Amino acid sequence: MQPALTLAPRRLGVVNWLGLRTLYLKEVRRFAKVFTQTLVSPLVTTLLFLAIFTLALGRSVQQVGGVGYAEFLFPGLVMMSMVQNAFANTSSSLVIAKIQGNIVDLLMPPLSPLELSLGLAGGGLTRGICVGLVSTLAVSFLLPIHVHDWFFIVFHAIGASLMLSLIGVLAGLWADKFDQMAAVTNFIIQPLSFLSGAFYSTQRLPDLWRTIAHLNPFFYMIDGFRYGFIGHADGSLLAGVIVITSADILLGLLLWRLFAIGYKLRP
Amino acid sequence: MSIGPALGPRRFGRVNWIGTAALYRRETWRLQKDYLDSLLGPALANLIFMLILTVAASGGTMGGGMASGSGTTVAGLPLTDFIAPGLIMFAAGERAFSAACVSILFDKLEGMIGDVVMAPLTSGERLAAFAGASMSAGAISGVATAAVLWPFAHILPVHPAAFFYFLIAGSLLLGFLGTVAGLWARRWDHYAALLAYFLVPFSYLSGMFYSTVGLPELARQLIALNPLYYVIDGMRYGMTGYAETAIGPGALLILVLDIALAGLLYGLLRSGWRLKA
Repeated sequence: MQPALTLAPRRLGVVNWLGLRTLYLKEVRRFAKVFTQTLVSPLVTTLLFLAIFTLALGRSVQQVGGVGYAEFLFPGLVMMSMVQNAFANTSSSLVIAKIQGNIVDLLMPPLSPLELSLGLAGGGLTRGICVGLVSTLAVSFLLPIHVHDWFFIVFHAIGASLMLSLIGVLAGLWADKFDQMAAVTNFIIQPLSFLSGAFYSTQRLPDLWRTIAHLNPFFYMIDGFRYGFIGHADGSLLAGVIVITSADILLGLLLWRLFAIGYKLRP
Repeated sequence: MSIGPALGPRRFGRVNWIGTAALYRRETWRLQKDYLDSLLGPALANLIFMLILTVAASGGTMGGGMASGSGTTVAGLPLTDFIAPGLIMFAAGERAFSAACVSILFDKLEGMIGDVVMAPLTSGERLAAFAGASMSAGAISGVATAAVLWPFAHILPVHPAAFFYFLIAGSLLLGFLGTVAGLWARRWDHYAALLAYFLVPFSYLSGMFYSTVGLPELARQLIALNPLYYVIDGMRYGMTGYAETAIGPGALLILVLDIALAGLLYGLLRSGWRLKA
């Protein structure tokens, strides 16, 4: 006798694991499909920056933070690339979905605000980590890479990618047009990441500028990540861990709340 | 006795001046509408670039202001003066290329390219309007960047003629390349790939940030093959009076390249390559 097939709505437990997994995979496949734009192109940019800064400054700047200029520079470049890509992944995903109207694919399925936040942020985080791995691997053919402390490398890679991935979701929720997104990238994300001390040691800035530089959250990501490689930090490592952890938690809570009230998503 | 204008098809002579001017205006205005992204964004990015290079180069001798660039010299010039021409040219070239490429690609994807193809314009007139629009976009972007860099470097040209010649000829070069790229591209992916794998490497590896004097021989020879090297060198000569290569042959080379690309593009537009079915 055949067991009767019951037709009924799918029942979910506390967490809709299948839905969460599907959303996450959708976000990852979205960038994996165009990997030449999302993984290879950041890698080329990182290598170009490494080349031009080493060519331009390698002869006049011998030692920074106790290592050669190129070794000082590369962790910052890799981190910049990771966070910019994590941001780009989530922000572009949401803005495009809003403009093309397929945002309903996110709103209609039985996904809770928390699941939405996790799925989207997870996609951006994954892109950041992938970019970081690919870039570090490529640079390792050109430079000797030493690992001083794995904890700081892994912590900052994940913490920073997650942070910018969350900021990307927030920006994507807020923006209604591509222009607004471009403005956020051009006038907030890029300046903050370029002025983060990736290219120079903040220890040699005048006091006022050093204080300002240390107010930039990007400074802690790059400083801590670089410490993991070269064993030298410009600022306080503990402060960095606290800043990034608390920023991740606060942004995550804010995002959860915004999805819960349907900010800019539901009329 | 006739009253009012005769109704009939508009007649024009050998050149459709009104049509050419209209196409030029259309291409120019659609770009200037988003001036915040197209002008201020690149100008700000270039300013930041200049600051970080200056700070990074200043070694342990950070005495004065962050942007004074005191102490660091390249080929006898303050670092800021050395890199400003390259940054200005990069802003102009990137803008000219993108303007031309995005405009054509957008029209093709949105199905509006008919507006350009159907209008009673000859290939030469289309070429003139496209080239003029991308050149103006580039030159405006270059001048905007120069204005932003003003407080930090000696911007006023020593040889204005050379400065403007290379700014315009360089923008034209990248504008032509952008037009060819726009005709060739079928998707936005193609445009993104061209920017990342062609335009940016081509611009950055052109002696923009460093003097080629003292580079390894192979690197020097490779850079000497890059036409943008001569454009940037010429701009630097115009702004500071310092040049690494002879200016005359450089100027001639760019002129020849511009004419050759114009010829190629004329042929492409005439044949309707990737525009007409």
